[in-house]
This record gives sequence, structure tokens and C-alpha cells, in this order.
Amino acid sequence: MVVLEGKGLGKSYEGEKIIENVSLRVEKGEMVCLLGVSGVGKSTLFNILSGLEMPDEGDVFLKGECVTGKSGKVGYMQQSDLLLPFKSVIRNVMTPLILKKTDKKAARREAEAILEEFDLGECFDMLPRELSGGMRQRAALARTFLTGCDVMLLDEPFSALDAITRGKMQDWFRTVIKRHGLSTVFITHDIDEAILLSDRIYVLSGKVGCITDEILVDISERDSSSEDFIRLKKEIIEKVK
Amino acid sequence: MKKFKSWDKALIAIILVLWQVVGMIGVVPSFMLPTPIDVVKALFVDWQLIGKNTLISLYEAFLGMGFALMGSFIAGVLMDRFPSFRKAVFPLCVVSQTIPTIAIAPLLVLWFGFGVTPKVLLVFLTCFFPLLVGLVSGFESADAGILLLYRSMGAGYLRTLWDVKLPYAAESFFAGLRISASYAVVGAVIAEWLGGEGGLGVYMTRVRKGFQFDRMFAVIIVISLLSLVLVKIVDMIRDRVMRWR
Ligand SMILES: Nc1ncnc2c1ncn2[C@@H]1O[C@H](COP(=O)(O)OP(=O)(O)OP(=O)(O)O)[C@@H](O)[C@H]1O
Ligand SMILES: [Mg+2]
Repeated sequence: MVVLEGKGLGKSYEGEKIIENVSLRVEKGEMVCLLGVSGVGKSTLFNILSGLEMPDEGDVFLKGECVTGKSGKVGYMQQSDLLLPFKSVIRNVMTPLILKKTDKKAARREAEAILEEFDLGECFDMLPRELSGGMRQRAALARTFLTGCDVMLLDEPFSALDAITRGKMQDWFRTVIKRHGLSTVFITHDIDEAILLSDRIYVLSGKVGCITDEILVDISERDSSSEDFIRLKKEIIEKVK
Repeated sequence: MKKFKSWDKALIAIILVLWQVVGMIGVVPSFMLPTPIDVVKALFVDWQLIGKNTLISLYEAFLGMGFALMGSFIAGVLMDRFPSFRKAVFPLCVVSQTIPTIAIAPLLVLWFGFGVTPKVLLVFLTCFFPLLVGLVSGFESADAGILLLYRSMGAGYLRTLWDVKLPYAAESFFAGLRISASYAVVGAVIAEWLGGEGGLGVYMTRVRKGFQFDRMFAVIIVISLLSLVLVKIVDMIRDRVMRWR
């Protein structure tokens, strides 16, 4: 079943076309990757999919319903963690539940559970600045989870992390997403990350960004040293060029 | 504000002692420059009158500040909500801060007479603009990404105001509130100089006419202390509110 779909999306800023005729879909439970170089319009596309921006052309559908320009329908984690510096970790993570008028106690319980799961059980009442980069990223992800939306858009979820933390987070991330049965689109410019994490890859490229390729990732083991992996990586590099 | 270090206290003590000595050996006639001890005596002798007038001035200061708080809050939120309104009005507000509101005190007395109104109004005008400028520039400093995030989570304006904009504005708002607090009592007193039924300013004009310099000094001390205490209270409230600092 298709949960999220963009059809013929286009957007210009100040008369300059950024993306054009972009169509993409996300199946239920699928992890889709949006791969592209810096400045090609990936975040712009996410802003449209999340309803924060109106596209100039095209429409966005959530489970068949047109949601173009309507925000609050999908979970969206932006490029930086965007935790409120003056709120404790748990209150940050509770925010989406509070916005949905969930009872405070219930919200806190739910936030505690997810923080425990994300290995942040010690940090409920800390301020974001007391956390490491990886912990902050996990807290931001926990918050996105609690939006309760079936679809999540993640804009470069690991870009702020060092290579080692990043590797650990990636493994953990795929497991958690699959366990929760969530449908996700995530952005990256790292081909390894795209192959490691996703079920399908869209390549966004061109002077005016459009989807130039769609690659199914059906490798038996997600290990960057396996033969399958290296073959696929070469194939993608050819296409991105 | 920085805390007084011990040598600051020592310096004050030295100045007070010097002042006392100068007064006692008669370099300056005591009716022009009363010694610290004279001043303290005056404070004790006249405390009932000073106390009564202090309450009047404080009442005006609080009323003016209260209205300024409410007014700046309403105006600030409106400006935030309607950017075109802000663009039209806010630059004027920033410029208006350079006009010494005290200079218009005589005008206020002409317009509103010798009652409480011109005093409260002057305090209001002195406090309103620093508060408003603090609040609005604070709203503008809110993290754009976080504002987008709130929108993406479907938050409405009031929720975003409460959760994001107000906390971001707290720092500059309290900076404005400190300025307001330090001018509020002085504002009331200056308006009282120009005439009225009571208050420290009226008391000052009265003792000035009687050349009672000791009482004059006593009132000056009371005014300084009141302003200091108000600023301290603002700092305490700020530290309570902004616990994340
Ligand atoms: N609000 C805006 N107003 C004007 N131009 C914009 C706006 N947002 C994005 N752009 C422009 O659109 C282009 C694409 O930006 P976008 O942020 O979508 O790129 P990106 O693919 O996410 O890049 P990165 O990988 O560096 O995050 C850029 O040239 C940018 O300058
Ligand atoms: Mg981007």
C-alpha cells in the first residue's frame, strides 16, 4: 500500500526553479532514501512533503488523501536536532503528544518509555546542552516518533555525528524503524548510508532537481564489505555522476 | 549586576567616613552638606512622613509599570502576529527610546493636572518602550528552525508563542524590565516635582523650600534604595523564570 505520494511536484524561489516534476511514493513499512548532492533541493522537497511549503505544481497525498500545504500530517525531523534549549529532554520529547492534547501524565509515561528504548533513560531531566551530539539526535528522533504519524521524513538524520557514532546509530536506527513498522524517507548524500539503511533509493539530481533514478536495494546482507554492496555502490556512483 | 566585592564596600565606607569628617570640621557648612549621620538622623526623625510618601510614589511606580507590562505585552504580541504592523511601528518605537520621556513630564502635568494620572503616565511611558523593544526583538530571535518544527507538528500560534517565542524573548525582555524597574520610581518622583498631593517628589520640593538638606539627602537615599531593590526583585524573578540559564 502506498502511504505517501508526491505527484509532479515543482517549486521555484524568486523565479528560479529548484525542483521540477518530482514524483515519488513510499510504501507501508518501507525505508526510502533520497540521495542527492548539496543544494539540489532535497530539503525543499521535504518542506513540500511535510506541508510546510506550498508547491508551485503538483500535489501530495497521504493514504490517498490530498494534503498539499497541510502541515502536521507527517513526522518531520529537520537537518539539525532542534531541541528547545530551555526544556528538559523529556519535555522536548513529550511536545508532540502535548500538542495533540494528550493528558500530561500519559504523555510523560509514553516519552519515558521511548527514551528508555532509545537508551536515554538517564537523561529525562537534563537540558539538551548536557547531551552529546548522538544523544541529542536520538532525542530528536524520539520526539519525531511520538508525533504518532505513520510516515516520517528525516533530513540527514546522522550528518551531525562523527563516523563511529554514526555507524552505531545507523544499525540501531534500521532496527528500531523496522520494529515500529514505520514508513520513512530520509535524506543523505552518503551513498554507503543510503545502501545500508534503505529499501529503495531515489536519486535527485540535475540543475533543476528531478528524480533521475530509482534503485531497489535488494542485497542479502547489509554489510559494506560484501560483494553485493560494492557492486550496488559502483552502480549508484555511475548514476549520480 | 555584578555583586559588590568586599573592597567596593570598603571604598564606600571610606567615602562615608571622609564625608563625615569633612562635615564635622566644618569645611562645608552643615546646612548645605549634611553629614551621613545627620542624614540617617533625618531619616529616623521624619520616617513617618517619608514612609507615607514612599508608599504613594511606589504606588504610582507600580501602577505605571503594571500598565506598561500589560501594554507592551499586548502590543508586542500584536506586532509579532502581524508583521506588517510591526514593520510600520517598531522602528518608531526603537527611535522613541532616545527621547527622554522625562522631558515631556511638564506637558503631562498641563494635560492631566496634579493628580495621580500624569505620574502613572510618565512611569508608563518610561517603562513601556524598553519592555516592548525587549519583547519584540526577543520574539525575533526565536530559532527559525524550531518555529518550522512547531508548524510541522501542527502547533497553533498561541502554543508556539508560549512554548518557543516567550522563552526566546525572556532574556531581552528581562533586560528591558531591569531598565524599567530602575527608572520607575525616578519617573514617578520627577512627575511629582511638578506638583501633586503626595509622594517623595512632593516631599522633596517641600523640604527644598525649607532648606532641609538632611531630609533631601535622606529621600535621595530612599529613592536609590527603592530602585536597587526593584532591580534585585526583577533579577530574582528572572532567575526563577529562566531556570535553564
Ligand atoms: N526559503 C528559500 N528562499 C529562497 N531560496 C531557497 C529557500 N530555501 C531553499 N532555497 C534554495 O533552494 C536550493 C535548494 O535548497 P535545499 O535546502 O533544498 O538543498 P538541499 O538539497 O537540502 O541541500 P543540503 O544537502 O545542503 O541540505 C538552494 O539553492 C537554496 O538556496
Ligand atoms: Mg538540506
